[in-house]
Amino acid sequence: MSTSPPAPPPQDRTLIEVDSVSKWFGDLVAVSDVSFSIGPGVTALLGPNGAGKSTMLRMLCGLAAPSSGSVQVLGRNPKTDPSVMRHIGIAPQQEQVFEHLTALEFVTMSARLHGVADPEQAAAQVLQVVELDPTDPRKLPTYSKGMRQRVKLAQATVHGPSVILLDEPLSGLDPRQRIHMVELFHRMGDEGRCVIVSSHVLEEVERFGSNILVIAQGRLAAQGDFHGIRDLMDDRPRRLQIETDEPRALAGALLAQGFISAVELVDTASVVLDTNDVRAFSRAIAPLARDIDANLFEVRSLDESLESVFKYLVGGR
Amino acid sequence: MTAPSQTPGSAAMHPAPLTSISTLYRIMMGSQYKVLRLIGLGLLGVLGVLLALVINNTADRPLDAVTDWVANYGFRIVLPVIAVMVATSLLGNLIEDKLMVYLWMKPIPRWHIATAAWAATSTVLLLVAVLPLLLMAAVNGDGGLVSSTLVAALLGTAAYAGLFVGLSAQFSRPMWIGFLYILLWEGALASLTDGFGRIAVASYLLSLLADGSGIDLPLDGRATWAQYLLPVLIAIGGVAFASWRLSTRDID
Repeated sequence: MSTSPPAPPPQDRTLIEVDSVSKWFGDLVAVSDVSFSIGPGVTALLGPNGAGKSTMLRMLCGLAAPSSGSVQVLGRNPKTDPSVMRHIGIAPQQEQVFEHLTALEFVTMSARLHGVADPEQAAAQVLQVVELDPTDPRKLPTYSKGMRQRVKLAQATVHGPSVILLDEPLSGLDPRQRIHMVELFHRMGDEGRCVIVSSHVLEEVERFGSNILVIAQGRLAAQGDFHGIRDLMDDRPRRLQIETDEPRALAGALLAQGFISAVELVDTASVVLDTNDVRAFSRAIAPLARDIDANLFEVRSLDESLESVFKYLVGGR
Repeated sequence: MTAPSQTPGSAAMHPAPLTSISTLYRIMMGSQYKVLRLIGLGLLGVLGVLLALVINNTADRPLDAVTDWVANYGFRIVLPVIAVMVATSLLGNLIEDKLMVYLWMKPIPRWHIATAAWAATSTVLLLVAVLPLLLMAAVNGDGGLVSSTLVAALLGTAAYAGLFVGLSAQFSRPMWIGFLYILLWEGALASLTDGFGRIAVASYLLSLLADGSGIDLPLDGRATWAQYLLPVLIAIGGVAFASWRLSTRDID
C-alpha cells in the first residue's frame, strides 16, 4: 500500500528512552530499575511469562505510569502527553474486542480517532496488508485468534506510527502467518520505524532481528545483539543426558576432554554429565563416539527451558 | 506485501473534537444497543407507568398520589438505578474488559472520552428513564407536573450520568459503589439532615418537581437557582473528574 515510504532516519536515533524505571503494585515489584534506549528497527522484548514484559510495554505507551524513573517516547512523556499517541501504535495481548464491530469498522474507528484523512480507505488498505478481507461482514468475535491478532496489528499501524508496540503478536498464528508477520515487522523496521515485539519464545525472537532486551523477574537481564546473548545463553553450565550403548567408555572419553565437570552413569544405557562449554561438547561428542565405537541414540538437555536460561542470565548479573 | 505506511493513513493531524467525540459516542452506543438489554432496563419504567395508572384511578387525591409516586419511585429509584447501570457498563466495562486501551491510545484529550461516555449514558437514559417518567406524570394530566417532570428528568439525567461516569473512572466495581451511593446517601443519609440532603442530586430534582406541581415532597425546599445550577455543575464535575482520572490512572 505504500507509495512513498518515509526516508529511514539515522539508525542511531533514539526514539524511546527508559531511565531507571520501576513499577510496583502494592508489595509486588513488576519492573525493577530498568534503563535502556531504543532506536529504529525491530527490537524484541524477551522474557518468560510474568517477567514484566507487558508492564514494560504498557509503560512505554503511557498506559501505566512508572512508580519511579521516566519514560520518554520521541522526547515526550506518553502518560501525560496524548499528542504523542499519533506516533505510537499498540497491539495489546488481550483477546477482548468490540463485539459489535467488523474488522473494517474497528480499524476505521482507530484511523478516525488518529485523524487519518480517509479513515475507511486507510483501514481497508491496512487490512489487506495483514491478509484480511475488508469486506468481510462478520463481527470480530467470530474471528479466529490468528485473525484477531492481525486485526489488532492493523489498528495499531493504520495511522503510520513511528513507534509500534506489539505484545506477543505471533500468538495464535499458523507458521505461514508467522513468517508473513515477521517479514512485515522487518519491513516496518527497515522503513525507520521502531518496532518492539514482546515474546516468551526464544526461537520466535531469533527471527525478529538482532536487537533484543531480555527481561526476567522484572529486571533487565541482558540487552544487545541477539547472537551475543545467544552465546551467553550457550555458555551457561548445562546438564545433558546421553543415550548410548557404551555409557561408561563414552563418559571416560568425555572426562578426558576437560570441558566436562561431572559425570553420572544412570544405567547401562545412559549417562548424565555437566558441561561449562556446550559448544565444545557439541563439536566433540560425535568424533569421540566414533573413536570408541559407541552408538549415540539421543543427546538431550535436561535444563533447556527458557526459564532456566533467564534464571542464569539474572543470576549472572 | 508492503508494510503499513504513512499514506494514506498518515496521521498528520489531531481529529477535531466533534469527530473524535462522535466516533467514541458511536462505539459506546454500539456496545449498549442490544434490544434485550434495553427492554430489561426499561422494565423498571414500564412497571412505574402501570402502577401510576392504578394509583391515579384509585387514590382519593390523584395529583398528590401520582406526584408522590413520580418523585419517590421515578426520581429516587428508576432514574438513578438505570443511570448507574448504564454509566458503569459503558466506561466501567470498557476498563474492566480491557477495551479502553483502544480508545485511550489515541491523540485526543481525555475529556473527549469522558464526554462521549456521558453523552451515550444520557442518550440511553432518555429512552429508558426519562420517557417512562414523563408517562408516569402524564397519566394524571396535570400540566405543571408533566412540565416539571420533564425539566427535572433532563437535569437529573445530566447529573446522574456525570456522577456515575466519574465514579466509573475511579473505582474497579463502580456499579456496586453506585448502588451503595443511591441506597445509603440519597436514600438514607439525605433524609436525615439538610446538610446531607444538599449533596444529594435527588433533593434538587424533587424541589423542582414540588415547585412545578405545588405538592410538598421529601427533600424539597432548595432555592430555584440551585435546582437548575447544581445538577448542571454535578454533570460538569463528574465529566471533569472522569477526564482527570483517565489521564492519571493506569489503563489495563
